[in-house]
Amino acid sequence: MSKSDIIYWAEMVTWVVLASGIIQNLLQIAQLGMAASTLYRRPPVINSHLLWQRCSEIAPAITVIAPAFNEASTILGSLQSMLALQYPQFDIIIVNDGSTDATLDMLRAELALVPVDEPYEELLPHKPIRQIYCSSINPRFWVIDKENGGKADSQNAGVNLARTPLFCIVDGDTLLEQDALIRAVQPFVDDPERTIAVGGSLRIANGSRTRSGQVQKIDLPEKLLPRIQIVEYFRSFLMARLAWSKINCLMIISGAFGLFRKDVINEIGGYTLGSMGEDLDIVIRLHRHMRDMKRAYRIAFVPEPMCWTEVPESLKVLSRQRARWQNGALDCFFRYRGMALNPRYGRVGMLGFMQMVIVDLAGPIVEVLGYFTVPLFWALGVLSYESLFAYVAIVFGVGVFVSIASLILAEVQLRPYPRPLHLLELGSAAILENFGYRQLHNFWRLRGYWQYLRKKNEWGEMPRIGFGDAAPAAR
Amino acid sequence: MLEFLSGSAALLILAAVGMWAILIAARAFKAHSHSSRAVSHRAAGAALIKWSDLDNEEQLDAALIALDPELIPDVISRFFSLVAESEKKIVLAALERLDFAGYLEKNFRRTDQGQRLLFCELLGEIHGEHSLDILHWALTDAAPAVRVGAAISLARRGELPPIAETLERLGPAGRRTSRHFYLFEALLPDRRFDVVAVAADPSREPSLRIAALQALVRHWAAPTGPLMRVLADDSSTHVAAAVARLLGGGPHRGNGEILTRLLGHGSPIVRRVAAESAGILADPEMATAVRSLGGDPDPLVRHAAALALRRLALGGPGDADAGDDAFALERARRMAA
Repeated sequence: MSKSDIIYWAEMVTWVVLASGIIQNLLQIAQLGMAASTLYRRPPVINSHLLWQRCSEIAPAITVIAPAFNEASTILGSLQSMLALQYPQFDIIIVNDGSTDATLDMLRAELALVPVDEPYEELLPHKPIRQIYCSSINPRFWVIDKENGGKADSQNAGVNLARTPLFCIVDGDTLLEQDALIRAVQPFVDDPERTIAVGGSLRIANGSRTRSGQVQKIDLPEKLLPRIQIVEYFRSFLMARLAWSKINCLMIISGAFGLFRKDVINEIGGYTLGSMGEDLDIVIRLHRHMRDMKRAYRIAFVPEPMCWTEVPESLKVLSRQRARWQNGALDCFFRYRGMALNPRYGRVGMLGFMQMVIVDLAGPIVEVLGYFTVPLFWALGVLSYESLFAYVAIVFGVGVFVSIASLILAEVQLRPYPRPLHLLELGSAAILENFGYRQLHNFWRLRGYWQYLRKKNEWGEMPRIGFGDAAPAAR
Repeated sequence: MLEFLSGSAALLILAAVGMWAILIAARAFKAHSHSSRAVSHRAAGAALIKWSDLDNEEQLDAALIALDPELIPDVISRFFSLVAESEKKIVLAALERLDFAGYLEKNFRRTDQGQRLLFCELLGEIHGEHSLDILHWALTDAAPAVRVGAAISLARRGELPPIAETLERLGPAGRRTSRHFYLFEALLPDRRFDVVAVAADPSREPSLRIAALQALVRHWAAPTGPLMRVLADDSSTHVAAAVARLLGGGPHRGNGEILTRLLGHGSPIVRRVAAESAGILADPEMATAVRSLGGDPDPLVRHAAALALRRLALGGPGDADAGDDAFALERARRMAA
């Protein structure tokens, strides 16, 4: 191979890397613009009393379903936050997915559970139920004790027992805001016929002080890793999901908080068992079903924070989580690949799946390729200094811009952190994220690729610190 | 090309970092004013609760005058959610004395969508010189939520234009919300024919018709028989399903006959809801119709029917067993599939 050939191929590889970076950046900038316009036109309602006055009499009943597997350290905090929920009519079903720790015992003690023989619709498949319990001190609370079958399996069991037209899926380790349900139900009130699902924003509880299942004092975590995840969450929820929901192209509703219409979930056969990305999977199937049936529908997103979750503080746990997310995304993409770029599925097929191709499929491979090849070609004298600088500016520079711009969106509309110092620290995290963390993240995602190729479907352990105090809940 | 890309990226970073720095500076500068606003917000709420409870006009007026007018809508809306109707009236009278409606009227067009909706709600309760003009004007607002809010306020004040004209002004997005329940509720009983006309009009949006139907049922605390009978055969599945759901709200004369008819409806959604309502009503006359749904082609309907039979244990152990049998049959079918 002659030197001119080497230069030609080096330039080609660099242009592929650059083009991929430019497309990803353009996509993010477009999302940013759409999210900003949505928030400007419809600013978040800060006062939840107003929402209560506006729709307490017409809000449909909701069942909150919380799957829990070995959540002994966080279940009491979650329970307390569920007890504090303010909503006209709701039930709560906690699904103990064959926990091997003290989760069920704690629930039994806190809720004074009694076994009941409650009939339920066995419409959606799940592992056998050992016993259904009802709380003797708060009849809103139900507990399903079943054999271990995974998150989707537990969610299906919960949906089968639910008696209300809407159900809300939450994680067993999240703290719900008191007004989460009344906020989340707004799209169902605004457009009851077409709305089939609503997603909500998550916030990170690490560093904040919690008491009785509620966040009492908002603060930033001390470690950089969770701070970077705060920036990531703002970028994901306040920018990407809000933007996609504006054009009815929302591809994922977080498993930590999502409100769904029960009849439509039953129509699609519930959650896919064994899926590593059950939250992505269910939304894609909802899109597919509604478009196949040619029914008008809407999957909405509410930007106000709905719940608080604890994020990993160690690289090891975070790497496992992100590899699993990547594995789930690939699983869903290939499972529903027929929808990709298929005009029958409209924006979902053309835009939503295109984003999956660019971000989830090609993104980590091309970016990691760039980490090695571009500096190498430059060091060998094959690439010009301008090319190297353009690569750095596009891949990292625009990353910084998008992160800070999403923080600006959050600050202007939601004012999520109380002190100016918090803003400074988050801004620093948004810049630092691009130097070290971003590269690691892409390697973790490649590991997700490897897990997908090896069909390795393991959730792995996610050690929890737990939320503040865990005082007796139900009384 | 490469220089252009690098230059654009550098400019973007500079712009973002610059704006972020400005926001931090603004936050630091305004930190004091934010906290003082929060304090006055709480103090105002406490003062309103105290002086309205004691019905002390002088102190109540003084507390309201001392408050930044910008804060009043939010304080009032919180306060109204906490107090009894009598105290609410006392504060409304104070706001009218102080011409708060004038402030709302003056600032209506300058605010964002959320504030405009709040202003509409307050103008529905606080009477001012031009408040009706503002509300009529708000019926053509760009935001559907504001248009609906204005319509509800006008209806509460008994000043809503003819219903057809109002609904036309609300536009398709404004006609979809279930908040119209409040609009129709405010029109009852004086304009009940308008409400019945909307509920019975097949050309209207189903959600609108359902809201009208719910308001009628709620107002008379019972399903309205003749209307239900007509709507049970409605071409809209949503409306027929709503009828089936509302019939399950309580045992009233004639419900059984309509519900039995709905159990044989062409749409599985309606049959399913009807089966659920039949279970709630526990009317033995419907047992045969519910049992016949055991052979329904739709699994959701079969389940609803089985559940109704089992949960209600109609007519003794025989029917409870029938419910169990239906469940067992269903499980067997699913396993075979």
